[in-house]
Amino acid sequence: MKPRTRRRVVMVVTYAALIVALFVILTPYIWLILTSFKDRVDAFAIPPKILFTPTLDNYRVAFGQKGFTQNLLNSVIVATLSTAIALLVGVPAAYSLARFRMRGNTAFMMFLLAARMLPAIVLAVPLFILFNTAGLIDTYGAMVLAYLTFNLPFTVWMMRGFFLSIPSEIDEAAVVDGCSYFGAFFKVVLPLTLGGLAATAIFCVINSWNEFLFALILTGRHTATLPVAIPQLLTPYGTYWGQIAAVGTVTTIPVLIFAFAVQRYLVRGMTGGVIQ
Amino acid sequence: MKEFDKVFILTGGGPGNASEVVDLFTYRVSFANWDMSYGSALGIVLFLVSMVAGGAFFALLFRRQEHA
Repeated sequence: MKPRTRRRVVMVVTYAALIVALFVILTPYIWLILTSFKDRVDAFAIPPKILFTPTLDNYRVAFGQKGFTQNLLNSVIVATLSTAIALLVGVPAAYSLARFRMRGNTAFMMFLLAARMLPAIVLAVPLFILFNTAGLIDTYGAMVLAYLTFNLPFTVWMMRGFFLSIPSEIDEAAVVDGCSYFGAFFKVVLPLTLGGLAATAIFCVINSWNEFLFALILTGRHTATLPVAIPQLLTPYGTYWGQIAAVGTVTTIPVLIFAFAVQRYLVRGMTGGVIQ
Repeated sequence: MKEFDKVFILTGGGPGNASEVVDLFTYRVSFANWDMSYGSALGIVLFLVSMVAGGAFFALLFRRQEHA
């Protein structure tokens, strides 16, 4: 074969494989969205109906009558607060870890990463005991604190990578030109890493949004986030698949939007600091 | 080892305890049987196992960095 035809064959095979993989991965998700617009008869029709009269009943019942709007609000509050605190504490920490040589720098970073590697249940048991003693169960505070256990290390690692990718001569120049260390940080370095900052924030939001185990253990009626609220629809009177699909669809929308926004930052953020 | 959500939702560890992963077992001991001390002990063992795995990972990572 000529090199040109061979390249074309490779292209075709690659795209075919990609399309098959995409189909396998996306089918359950597309099915979720389709189911959310079906009534109960259509949802279980055999053979499955691709064409049907769409209905918004599932959304109306789940968010209008069953109080999932409150759960949505809970998710938003917890994700936002925990991301905000993680950035507030984590970004300066990352900056100092990237710029100043201190004893135990590496050990500290490793320690943070180790905390991130633990199975969540290891932290969940002591957190539950602590919060129970402090009377914090079923409050936003408990959730925000619990989510910081993974958001904070993540923020420090990501942002340290972004800060390391900016040459320290830039802050030195700022200091020479009359900035204080804090001025150099806020006025010069931070604006340069704005993209990374946004990416980190969005990842924190996504992580908090998807979290299941902590939410399951630490929330009650008042603060349940969307992922733990969905199983309420598996009732003794039957499983409301249509409503589950409706809530599931709404749950995934913000994540989808955010994920598309930051996908190109992911690789850079995770590797930027490591390969120095 | 960090698998909890899917098993919890899909099978709850069942049938019997056939699909019970260690996270789920710890969860059940702690929050279904309310045996917090047993749960904590399991947690510590899990923690040690993770540390060993993590240590091996770091060792590999650093060795590769030295070569690079």
